[in-house]
Amino acid sequence: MRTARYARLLWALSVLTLCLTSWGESKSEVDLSPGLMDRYEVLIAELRCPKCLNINIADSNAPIATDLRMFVRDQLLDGKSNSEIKAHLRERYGDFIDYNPPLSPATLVLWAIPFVLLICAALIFTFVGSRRDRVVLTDEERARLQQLKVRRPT
Amino acid sequence: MAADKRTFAPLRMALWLPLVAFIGLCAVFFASLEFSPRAELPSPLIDRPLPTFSLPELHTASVRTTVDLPDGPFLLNVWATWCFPCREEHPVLMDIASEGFAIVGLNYKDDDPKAIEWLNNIGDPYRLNLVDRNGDFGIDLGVYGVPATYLIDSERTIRYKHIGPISSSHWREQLAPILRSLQRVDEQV
Repeated sequence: MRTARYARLLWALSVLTLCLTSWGESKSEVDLSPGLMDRYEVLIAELRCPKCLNINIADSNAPIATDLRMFVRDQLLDGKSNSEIKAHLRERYGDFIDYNPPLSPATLVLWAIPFVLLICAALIFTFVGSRRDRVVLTDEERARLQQLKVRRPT
Repeated sequence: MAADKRTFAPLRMALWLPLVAFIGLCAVFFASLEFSPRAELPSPLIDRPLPTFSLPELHTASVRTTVDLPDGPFLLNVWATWCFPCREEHPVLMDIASEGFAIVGLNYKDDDPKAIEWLNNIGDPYRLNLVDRNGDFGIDLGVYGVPATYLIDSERTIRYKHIGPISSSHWREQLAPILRSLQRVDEQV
């Protein structure tokens, strides 16, 4: 009984230690000043891993993602701006690498769709809305409406 | 119904628009599922100059730059001993070399002795072998998978990029015709 509890405690401790070591590792991969570290984290979250297609380089374990993270770190230490670093990588890997793609002829449709839909919705709303006013009642219908209003006052 | 007759007719038609748009989108998505050749990323490096470099040569460790590259058009092959498809590609490279075409190797994130041993054991198709120990030149070339092969013309412009091993049919049907036409252009000049 006592040994069982001891074993469980030991297990819990080892799991906790494991968590702490992995946390320590993920933090120690790069050593940057707080300001650069913030920019580093924004950049690696916005850059897509070219090898693994649907994951950013921050979350990917692929060797190329590690290399690109180190590349971003080195460029930050060289004093490059965020847009310079992204432009540099876009020149080599294409717009694909940027999860925040620039406005270009290829992406124009993508950027325009929400606005086109909004305009469509506004048009439909205006027309359907104004249609109600255009309904003309015959004298017969008007009389019946009046009757209904009298019968059931609000 | 009397009220229905008074409804503006084009508007009733417009109510079908969302459904039509939905079916259209479905068609587009299904088509791209079926027919899109999504294996390779388009490279922005095509028709751009080969990035400059200063890298050690594999056998002698002496530094080589752009001036040490072959004169005519050549293939730049990124390879490593840890890369399994590179072994599959190797006989094709040997054939290409035996046809007299120049191949420059870029030994990518590898170990020098292992790379030399590999070439001694199964043959060396490379006219020149550069070493990219930590993958910096790989980033300049937009490499994201090994093997990768680039076709460089005599002006040092990248004309073609292929990620993944080259098969002998791929070589015969796509790369060889481009390389031969580039050689012919050079002869005419």
